[in-house]
Parts: sequence; C-alpha cells; structure tokens
Amino acid sequence: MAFLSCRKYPDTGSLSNSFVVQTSKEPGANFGSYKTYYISDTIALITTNPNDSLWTDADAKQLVSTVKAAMDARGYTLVPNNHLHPDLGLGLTAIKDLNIGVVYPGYWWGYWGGCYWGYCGYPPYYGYGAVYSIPTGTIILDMIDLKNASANTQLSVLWSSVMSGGLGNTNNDIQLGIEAINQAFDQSPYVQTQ
Amino acid sequence: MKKIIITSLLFLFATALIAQKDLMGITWNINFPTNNDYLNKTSFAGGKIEYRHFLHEKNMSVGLALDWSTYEQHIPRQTLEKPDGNGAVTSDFIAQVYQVPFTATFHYYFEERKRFQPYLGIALGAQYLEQDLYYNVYVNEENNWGFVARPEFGFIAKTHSGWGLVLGANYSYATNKTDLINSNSFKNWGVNIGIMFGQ
Repeated sequence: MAFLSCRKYPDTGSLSNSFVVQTSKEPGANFGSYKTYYISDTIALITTNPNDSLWTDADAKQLVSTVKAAMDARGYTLVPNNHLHPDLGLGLTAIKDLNIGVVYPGYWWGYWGGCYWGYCGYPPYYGYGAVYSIPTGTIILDMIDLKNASANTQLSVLWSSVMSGGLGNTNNDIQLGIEAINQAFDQSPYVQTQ
Repeated sequence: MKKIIITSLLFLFATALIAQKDLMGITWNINFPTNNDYLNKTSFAGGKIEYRHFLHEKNMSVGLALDWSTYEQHIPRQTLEKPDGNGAVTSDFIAQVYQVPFTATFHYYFEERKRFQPYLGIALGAQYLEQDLYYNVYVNEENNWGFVARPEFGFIAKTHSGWGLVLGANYSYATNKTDLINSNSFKNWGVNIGIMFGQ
C-alpha cells in the first residue's frame, strides 16, 4: 500500500488569483418570505493586530455597496438602521494577514461584538455542516434571519458565502472582491423576493 | 477483488510447475482518458511492471501486472453545484487522477515471424483510483476501488540475447464510482512501450 502514496502532486501555481467563491444555504430556507435587510457600512476585520477590528475605508464601502446593489436587484429593501426591525441582517467579515485552520462557520462571529443586531445572547446557528479552512485574504458574507430570531431564540444563518482570495495582496484585489460578491449572488439564484 | 488476485496468484504458482518460460516487462504508459468532458488530457506519467509465465503450450501465458498513471488537467473557472443543491463553489481547478490497476493477465501469442511475436490479451483485476480537485488553498479528495477489465494487444520484438522490445495498446474500463464528479466509471485508451526480458 506504500506504493499508493508514491505519486506526484500538482503544481498549483497555474491556478488563477480570482477568488474561490463558496456558497451554502439553509436547506429549508424560504428566501421569498423576507423583504427587508440591513447591512453596516463597515466590515468586521480579523487580522494579527487585535486593534484592527473594523474596516471602514473607501475599499470597505465599495464591498458593502456591492452587497447592497445585489440585494436590491433581488427585490430586498434596505432599512437605514438595525432598530427598524429588518427581516435579514447581513454581515461582512474580512480576514487579512492571518490563516485560520479548520473552523466551523460562525467562528468569526466573536469579532462582531457581543450583541448582533440587538439580539444579545442568541447564538449563531448554521443549518448546514460546513467546515472551512480560511486562508488570508478571505471575505465572508453571512445572511441572518432576524425576522424569526425571537421565535427561534437563535440567529439562523440562511445563506453564507466564503470568498477566498488575495485580499490585501494586490492592487486590484478590491475589484476581485467585488467580482467575488457578485459571483456569490450569481451562483445563488434562490436568494430573491418579490 | 482480493479473491480475484489471490486466485490468480494460486493459478500462477500452479502453472509454474509446468511452465518453461518467464518474462518480466517494464514499460512506459501513455493514457488517453475518455471520461467525458471532465478529463481529456493525455497522461504521459505512467508505467507498468509485469510478469508473464508461459504455459507448456508456449503460445499462452498467465501473469500479473501493476500499472500506475497520473492525469492532471487545469479546468477553467466554473461553478460546481453540490449534489444536494444547497451549496456551490466557483473557481478554476486542477483536476488530478491517480490510477493504479492491479491485474491478473492472460495472453495468447500468434506465430513468431522474423522475431516479431504479436499477442492478444486480457487483464482483469482491481483498480485504485484517487480523484483530487485542487482550488486556491483547498483540495477535495476522493479515492475508491473498482473492478477493471483491460483487453490489450501488441507485439514483442525479440533479440538474440534474451530480451525484447514490447509495444502494446489497450482499452481499460473500470467501475470506480466517484461522487465528487458524479461519475460511475473510469475509461481510457492506452499505449505502452518498453522492454521484456526473461528466458
């Protein structure tokens, strides 16, 4: 059987620098039952520097705007703040200068602070068993069910995307990040409402 | 699969008692995958070690063969859906397949003319297959075993000093089932060239 491990491994240098876009959804989710959403203009930032916790510059705003445009195109309405009881909460997280080993989704929620969208104490819940290895330069987009949060006493993640690429490495990586967010929506046509 | 291999070995040892000639072969294998649109790039990274044991009729041999091949192909950026429909991944990929059939062989030899001896044969056995998809820093791996049947033909060009050149061609059909790419078989054409030596 030792022979079976005697094999060559590929040169992965030929792989492109476009983001790998992974999406997952809660199997029973009915995306048409939600109408409104809220997303912050800042991005939760995870780096090796503990003082870096928010990404607020123009690049961050571009990524948030891309999410807003995609959500609007799918029929959802943005509410101006999270006290107006949006049906959905969207959260963007960026991971830079740090490779995170194998984690379950939700690992990054600690970086959003204790109370998510005013629902203090409710744990995140992912209805799918995804396990991720997160390399540096990753953007994560989570879509959380706020409409039923009280009834469920948890923050169910209806849909999420883990976009891994070279964020922070090259000059055009924000453009690649924008393309990745659009790709996440493109490959998830079920995310829409009337 | 194990039973087939063990039965073949026993058969081989039994026939050794009446055999008069053995051949060992080492060849370079070039394989052409015919599995649809997933993989179509020729593999030049392969080889074979085989042993043929002639029966007393001298125009038939039984033997064992171990082959290995690595297929590698860059797949342009595309979206793959997970089978349950609840997920998808978009990336470019490097697909790699590592194929290792262990087979028992039977060959029939036609009349030798001017030191050329053509043959027809069949190889039956078990095939280990590993299918990997590399993307970004990730890899999805799947490996499995299947039954393999491989008809083959070729010729041995003999020299005076007990060794010869061998040139063969074959078609391999294996029942390896790979969920990763929703495939129930692995098929390829192959040619092999090398040397045979023995007495």
